[in-house]
Amino acid sequence: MITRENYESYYLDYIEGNLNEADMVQFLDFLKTHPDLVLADDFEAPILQPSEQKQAFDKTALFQFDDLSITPENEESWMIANAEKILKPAEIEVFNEYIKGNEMREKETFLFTQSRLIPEISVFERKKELYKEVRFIPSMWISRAAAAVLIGGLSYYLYNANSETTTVEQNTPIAQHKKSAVQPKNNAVIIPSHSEIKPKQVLDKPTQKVKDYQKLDEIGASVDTPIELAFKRLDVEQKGVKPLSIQQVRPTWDLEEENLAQIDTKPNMTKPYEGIASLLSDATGRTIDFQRTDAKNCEKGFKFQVGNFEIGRRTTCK
Amino acid sequence: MTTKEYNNAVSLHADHVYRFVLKQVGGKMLAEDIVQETFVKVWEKRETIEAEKIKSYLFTTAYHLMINALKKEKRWSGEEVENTPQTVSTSSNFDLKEILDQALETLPSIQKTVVLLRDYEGYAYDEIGEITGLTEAQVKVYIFRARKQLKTYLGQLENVL
Repeated sequence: MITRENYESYYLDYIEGNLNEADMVQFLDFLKTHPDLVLADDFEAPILQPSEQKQAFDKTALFQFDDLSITPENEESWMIANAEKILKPAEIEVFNEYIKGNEMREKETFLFTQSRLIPEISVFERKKELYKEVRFIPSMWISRAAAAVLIGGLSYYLYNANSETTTVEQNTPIAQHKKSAVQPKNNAVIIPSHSEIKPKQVLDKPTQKVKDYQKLDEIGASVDTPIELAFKRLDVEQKGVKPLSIQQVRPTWDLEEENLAQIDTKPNMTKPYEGIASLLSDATGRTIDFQRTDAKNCEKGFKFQVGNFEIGRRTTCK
Repeated sequence: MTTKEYNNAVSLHADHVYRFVLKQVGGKMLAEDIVQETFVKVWEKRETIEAEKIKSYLFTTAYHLMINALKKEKRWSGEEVENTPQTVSTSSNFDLKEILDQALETLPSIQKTVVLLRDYEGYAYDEIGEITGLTEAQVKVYIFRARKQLKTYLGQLENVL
């Protein structure tokens, strides 16, 4: 149904040849009954026959110029096209030549050029309300990275430390105690140098460290937040040595009250922990304070600090 | 479109969408509400929107929301030529931008829209067509008419001065 409200789209389709036959008949009938629309400013020629209409319609309203001829009838379209900056170089040249020296044409051209709106700056003051939070919490990722490096580093250290255990004769009491579980090579067993120290907690499965890591993640701990328990212990008894036990990672204020780590072997605490300190420093972007403690009451050990955390180890002489 | 791309779109386009709407609805509060709703809709449909097309999507959404709002207030004249008296008001200080703003108010709503998209945002005719739902030919015709109207207004001003 063609109405006064939508006839223009039919008109444009008509002049572009996009109407099908049925629509064209309907459109022409509509125009016959609404002659006032045909005489509207921008629709110049009455439409009686399609072929005649196509020839009569001034396509320059659509900025379509068949050739470079400018006439008083189409000069306005050229001026607007010039203001729209859509003329091609050759067309600009012809157009400038056309208006040159004619005060009226130059003035009209100038006014059309001035009709371009001047953009202004507007600031949407409620912009902050539009932003959406990116679900990325840096501290969580730092803690994850730190925990992963910590666990990996400690595992590496414990693995190395185990290879430096002391060998004794097979008939020692402790060796006999372990004999049923361990079958040493070369008629010897590996025993701890101070077997009287018992780990506070023995974990059944080495995979416990993974659980501890997940637990650390769940509480959203970061290197600035005290963690009660991040890594308990790595039980390597199955490999035939007395357990090495890293018992707990605790806040700094607990460090002096109990052993954070107990080891039954002669430790080499130099290189591995420096490596850990370096890795942690890289992962957290923080300075890692690594300290070795001197022997005191036949104890020696180390500690290193990440933010508010310290992790340490102390061994007691026999 | 990711959250980051959405936030980037807020930074890049919120002011422009606001300017586009404000110029046509007039009221600051209504314009802000329309922009707010525009971004809410975009956020809700972010999964289906390509980041490269976000600007066009924003303007299209804002345009339709604006039309609905103005129609409710019976302020959308659409394609109809308004019978606004085309009197030229001048101030002691001649300011072309101010005069153009006055001239803009004499345009029918749809002409105002296409001219704003053309002059403020630099959209091509076919892009304006996509945003407004018009054909490229229709956009050209409306631009053509709007330029004539604006030029006539400026011409009257020149005669007054």
